Amino acid sequence: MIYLDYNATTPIDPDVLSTMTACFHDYFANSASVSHHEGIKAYHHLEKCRSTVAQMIDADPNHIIFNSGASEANNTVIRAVVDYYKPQGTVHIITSSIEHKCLINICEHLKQHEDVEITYLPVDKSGKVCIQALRTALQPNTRLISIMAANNETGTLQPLQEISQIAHDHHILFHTDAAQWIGKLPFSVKDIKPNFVSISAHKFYGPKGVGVLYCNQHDIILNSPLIHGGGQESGMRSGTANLPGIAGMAKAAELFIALHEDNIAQQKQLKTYLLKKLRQFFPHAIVNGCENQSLPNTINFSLPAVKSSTLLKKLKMKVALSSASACLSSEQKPSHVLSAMGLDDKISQSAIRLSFGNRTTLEDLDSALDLIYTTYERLKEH
Amino acid sequence: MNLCDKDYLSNVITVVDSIYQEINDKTVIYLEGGHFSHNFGADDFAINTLNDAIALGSMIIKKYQRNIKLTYGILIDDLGLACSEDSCTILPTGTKQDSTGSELPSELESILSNSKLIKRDKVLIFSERTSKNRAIDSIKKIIKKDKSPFIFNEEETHTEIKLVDQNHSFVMARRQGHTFTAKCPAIMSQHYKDILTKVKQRFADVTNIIIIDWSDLSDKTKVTQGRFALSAIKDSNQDINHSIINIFFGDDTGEITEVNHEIHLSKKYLNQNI
Repeated sequence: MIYLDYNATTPIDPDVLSTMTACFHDYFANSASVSHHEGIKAYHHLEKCRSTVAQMIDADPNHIIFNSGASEANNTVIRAVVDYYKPQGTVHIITSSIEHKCLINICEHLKQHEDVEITYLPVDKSGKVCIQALRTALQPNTRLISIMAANNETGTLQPLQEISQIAHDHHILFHTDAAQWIGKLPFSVKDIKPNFVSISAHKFYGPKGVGVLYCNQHDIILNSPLIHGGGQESGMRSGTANLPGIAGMAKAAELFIALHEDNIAQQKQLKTYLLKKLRQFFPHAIVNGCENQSLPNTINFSLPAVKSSTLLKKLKMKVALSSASACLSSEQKPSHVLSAMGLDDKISQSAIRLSFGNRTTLEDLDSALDLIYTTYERLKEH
Repeated sequence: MNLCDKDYLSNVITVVDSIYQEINDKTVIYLEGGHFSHNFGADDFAINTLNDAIALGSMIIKKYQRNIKLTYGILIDDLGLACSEDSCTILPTGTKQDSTGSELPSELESILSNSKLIKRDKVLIFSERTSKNRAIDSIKKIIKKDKSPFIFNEEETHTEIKLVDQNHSFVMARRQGHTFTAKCPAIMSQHYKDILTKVKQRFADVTNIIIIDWSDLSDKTKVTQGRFALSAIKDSNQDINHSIINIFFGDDTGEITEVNHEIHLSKKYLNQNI
């Protein structure tokens, strides 16, 4: 099996796995039980992990809140901002039409049940948020701008510094869901200056079910934490810390810090090679999204005349790819991301996301393209 | 591997048994494996599911002898990208549609001819294209009636015709001006409706139909939505006891499977038994 679905999840790194296994033995105690040595050891280890993860994004360790991942982080931020500002009247949030469903759905939920207005910014054909539309959308009651860093389907990167600057110029909080960016490209909170960042460990060779909310506005989260309980994570996210998972994430962060320059250079080479080969194999292929301002591991392309869900079904035992076909969605609707980019139904229905990673080789890509080509030729309308 | 040893087949038998215990009457079981793409031909999924359908048929005959009748069918995927075409009617492909005599890939023909259980000329062949065209007709007819089960969502450029199941709403069709496009659940529900019609035509005195249908796991959403939607689109004269058992293959061989089912009891049966 050639695995080319790294944006869905990455295989766990062997070093991460052994770190986690050791942690189950060495730091089994509850990190909140500081009344005994085992608990103190676990607590100390948790704080070491916090420092490592903070280092990956240039952050103050005090601004790192461990949780279950980016979906939880997104829900936490949106809810907390609404709860914090609602005594002052209608809360206006600006986000984009291509966000992950976890963010769009919490926005829609709050719009239905609270005094909340949501503006979904349009994107251009390459999937980039329209900055002029952002400026136009600003209102006196805009409390939060939440724009994802890199899109999961197309890999398109958003102009985060520009968006952040606009937010701060207008004294508006800025949140970014960086689940797809962090671990693939360097990310510095010192450069981008967000107030909140959502992170998932499993997107960068760490374990599933662990992540981080970066937050430099503790009062907002403390006013309305998503999970109430024993007051762990400085009261912002209760529940016993998943120390083996967190240790695994910290190890993955450590590996990223050490290896990212080489890995990114290699992935850029693979992407250039893949785009060239793709055009040789399929002269009519359409690349969806931005080729340059995008993640180095992601290509989204449409092969005319064949539905991607059918193509993937034929390939599923040999190549792991992803499609956002309407046929696979619970609502029978095409990908909201590709629709927002203005792609017509046929292009959306034939769109394939190919995302590779640190373990992918040139030979993997060649074999995958061969298989895609042979299957496509058999399936296409004659 | 001996197909009869597959774990999931005995699970399916257990489900069939529970349905048969509930409705101990004139029962026909329709088994549908071998789903293949018109352009691609028979792949491992098509071959293995048809083989499994035959193996399951043998197990059923062994258990129920002459108390249950069997019939077989195959659904051809001949939609391609026509699935998203904004048209009322899609032109048929070159093959014969919905006919027992339709040509099948040689691999499937060979499996059928080697089976002592199946008479080739009795195998029902269905086409997704035809189902799609018929689904549009069914939906239009229902909309014309006073009480429609559908909800209509007006979008910028079109109207979405939706059904609501217990948890979610899903799109059955899209209407743009006078043009209707049937979506996957509508195609599946029409297919199940057509199976009920064909089986009833063949076995006039049947009072209980069990459909056993093999699908790919990635089609689970549209298949189960189609199963749910059957009650909305079936004709009033189709109020017959029927159950649909869906078997979803996670791989091409049936090592990873999921089985679920839904039972529908007719009003007549309910009035007599409750």
